[in-house]
Order: sequence, then C-alpha cells, then structure tokens
Amino acid sequence: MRALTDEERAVYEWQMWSPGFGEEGQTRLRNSSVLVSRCGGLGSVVAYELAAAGVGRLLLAHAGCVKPSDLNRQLLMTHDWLGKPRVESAKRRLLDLNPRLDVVAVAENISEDNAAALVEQADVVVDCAPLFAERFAMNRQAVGQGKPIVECAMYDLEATITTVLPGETPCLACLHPSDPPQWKREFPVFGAVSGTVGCVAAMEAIKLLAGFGAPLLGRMAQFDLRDMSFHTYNIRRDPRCGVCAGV
Amino acid sequence: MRVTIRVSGQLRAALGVASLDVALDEAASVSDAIVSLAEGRGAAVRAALMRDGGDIQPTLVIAVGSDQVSDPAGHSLRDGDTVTILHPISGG
Repeated sequence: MRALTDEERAVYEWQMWSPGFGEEGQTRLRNSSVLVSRCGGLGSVVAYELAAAGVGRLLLAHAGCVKPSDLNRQLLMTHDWLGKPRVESAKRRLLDLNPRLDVVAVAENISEDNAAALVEQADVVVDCAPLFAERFAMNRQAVGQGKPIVECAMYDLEATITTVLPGETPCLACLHPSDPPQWKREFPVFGAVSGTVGCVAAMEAIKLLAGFGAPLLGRMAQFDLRDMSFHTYNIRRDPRCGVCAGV
Repeated sequence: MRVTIRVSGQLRAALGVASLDVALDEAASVSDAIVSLAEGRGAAVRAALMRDGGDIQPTLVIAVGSDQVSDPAGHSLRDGDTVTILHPISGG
C-alpha cells in the first residue's frame, strides 16, 4: 500500500482528524478504486466527493453527450461542454479538483457486456444509474464478485439509499426482483435532492473503504426533503433471490 | 381499526398525498391494507400497487413501522400501525 505524500497529508488534514479514520483511513482511500455507474445527478456528486476525499482511482461509466436538461443536477457537466461527451466533462472537472486522481473514463453505460470487467477493477461500486437493466447487470456482477455496492435512488424530493454486502445484506434483486413496470426514465427532480443523496452515497463508500463507521447494511434510509422526514427501515434478504440466494 | 399508510415515489404522485389513514377490519393483514388502498383511487394507483392478476406488485418494498414485511398476506396489522410502501425509484 502506497504511503501518503506530505502534500496529501496537508490536503486531507481536516478529515484525518475524524475519530476512527486518521492517516490509516486516508491511506486506504488513496489505494482504493471506486466504480461509479453514470455521472448524472447522483453520480456527479458521488464522484466529486470521492475525488475531494482522496480516493485514488475512479472508474466512471457514462455514455452520451451533455444536454441542456442535464445541467440542473449533473454538477460535473458544464454549459461549455454541451454536445460533447459527458464522461470527458466529468473527468476534466474531477482533475481540476484533484490532479492526483487516477480517472478511468468509459464512455459506455453499464451493460451485461461490460459489467464484469468494470466491477472487477473496483473495490466498491456505487450505483447511480436510471435504468433497472443497468442496475441489475451491475448488481449481479457485484454480488458474484463479492464487491460492496451502494444503491442510491431519487424521485422528486425523495431519495433512498442502502449498502449491499453480498451474502450478508439484501441485494437490489431482493428488493426489486424484476423490472418495475411503472418506472419512467424521466422524472421530476432537483439537483439539491440528487446532491444530498449523492453525498450520503459517497460517505457510505468512504466508510466501506476505510473501514470505519456503520454503513447502511441491511438498512434502507429514505428521506423526503419536501417535509424533511427521514426514516430508516430494516430490510430483509429474499431467500428465493435469483441473484444472491446462494451466496 | 385504523392504520396509516405512507407512500413514496410515483405511487405518491399518483395518489396525490404522502400518507392517509384507512379503516380496516380487526383481522386485516398488510395485503388487505394495500388492496384497500388500490380500490377506488384510479388506474394509476391500482397499477402501482397491483399486478393484472390481482397480486401485489413484487417490486414494492413494504414496511410496518421500521421493519420490512416479506409476507404481506401473513402479516397481521394492529390498530395504529404505520404501513410504508416504497415504490421503486432509481438514479439519473
């Protein structure tokens, strides 16, 4: 494991004061890789916070080019990048923040074809994708490879988040065993909502990588910023789950 | 008895409110509460809760109090319970 440089100690000094984290936690982050599936409203903030925190390597998977309707929430996309590849805009912005970061930018969304290879390169996966087909593909690979996966989602002013530890906690397919028939690809949301849950997801990844705190294992947090209600539910593995029942 | 049902996501949008109280028979289960909610509140609410055959949508995460319920038909409710129905949502 590569030790921190003096520059890194100076940059991360304030978070290394956090009890249970310290230089050992920071060194673990520095030597870690995180896969972020899509850098939209959620993934942009997840990636930005992980870059700020000093994670060593980020793998970003996101297809397509920046559109005007991205710009209310996808904080790694900028007006001057309209019409250009999203993942390049994300990489550029992340390196502005943390030039020490190793960014692997993949201009594809997660699919059955690329999920195995991308998950293999990561210590932790953060699922920020809008389509359940992508999410299921990544869930299968993360569970099969024993990689923790942070599942975050949003709608309007609401959000949910849970962290999956394969074989120990419910996976995405335990909670949603099939593609939800009513789910619509486009939906109401504010950037402040995706940003809030994105920050929580980044903190979950940091805790998993550094080995401190208590991640949302077997628990789902749900909040509604419309009335500022926050709830946590104890969730269960499905013994008949088609993905994790045998793990 | 009366129970409170909280809803989220597209189900909340279809229903128009975040929560409501419903009156149920004393021996009612979580399934009964969901069927009660699905009746008379329009096609979008019904489709969010029930499959065409009348089964509860398997993609819902349902909790009573703070605990997920894995067998809605077998879980009896008590007066004053809160049932939460988390409609599946995603990223973007």
